[in-house]
Amino acid sequence: MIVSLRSMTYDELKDQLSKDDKIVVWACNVCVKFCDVGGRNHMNALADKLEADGYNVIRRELIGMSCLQDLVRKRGTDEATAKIFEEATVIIPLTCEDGNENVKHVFKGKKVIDATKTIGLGVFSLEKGMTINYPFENTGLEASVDGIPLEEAAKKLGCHAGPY
Amino acid sequence: MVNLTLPVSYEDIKSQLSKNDRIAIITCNSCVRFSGTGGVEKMEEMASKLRRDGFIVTDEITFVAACLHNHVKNARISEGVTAVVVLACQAGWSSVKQRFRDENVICATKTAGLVVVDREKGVEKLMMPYRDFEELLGKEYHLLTGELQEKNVMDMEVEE
Repeated sequence: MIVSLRSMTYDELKDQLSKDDKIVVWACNVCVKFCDVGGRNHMNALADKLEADGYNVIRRELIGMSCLQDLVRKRGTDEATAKIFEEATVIIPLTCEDGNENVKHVFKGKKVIDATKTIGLGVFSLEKGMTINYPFENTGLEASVDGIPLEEAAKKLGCHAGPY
Repeated sequence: MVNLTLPVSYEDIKSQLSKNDRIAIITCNSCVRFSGTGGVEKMEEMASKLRRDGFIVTDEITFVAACLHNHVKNARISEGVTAVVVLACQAGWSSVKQRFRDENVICATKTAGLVVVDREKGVEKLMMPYRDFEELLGKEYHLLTGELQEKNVMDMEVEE
């Protein structure tokens, strides 16, 4: 699994938005779901929070895998979603950085928020949740069989574990 | 989900095994299948080669995702396994090693980094490499075979 953390707080995210924005909250449903950042529940929770704070969320878009560019592209061409994405001014991807790159590439001209930081590969278990086991060298974290809990990794990296 | 793995040579793997080992071969069926370094066919191929070379392969096991540890932890695997050959990325290997702490757990791949995939174009592109694979940044690989493309077909920007 790809391990991603939140790159900012909810308030910092809000600072990048305006009340006139037409916002799509976009969530991948694989790795980031196991990292407690993405997936349907966290997508809905963020969209609810933004709406309660007066922001205009025009779409909640759950995608099977945001690292599949053809799947991302389809959102921009499929008649069920194409209009919405044409109308949107901001997309908030709850994805890994790869998934985010795909969104930026496909929806050029939209403001795409860098809401996550991807730190490497990890292992998920029901007992321990997600751990980072094989981090990118630039994180300064050590690779290990048992992995590092995401709260600890987030603290070391100045990021945030868990949902927005 | 998707990371790029490159194969470790069969000779390298074989050199880490002994003829007395009781060997389990475990494969992930996700990213490594995309990279052509794992999946059921690759596992069967590895098992056949090892058996032909006189090794004892007792188990062949497929996981949807080896990085989901509960699948690995709860799988029925023969008693007395002494070596495990893992066709998975480094995270999948960690997951298997957590179960087989005292056994020889061999990773049959090298994890190069994270990719974006275009199934219509049949390729995956390395976007976030690990340090040893930085020279491969932006390279594209054929899906399911892992063959390096001579020419890129995705018009995706790559951040240096």
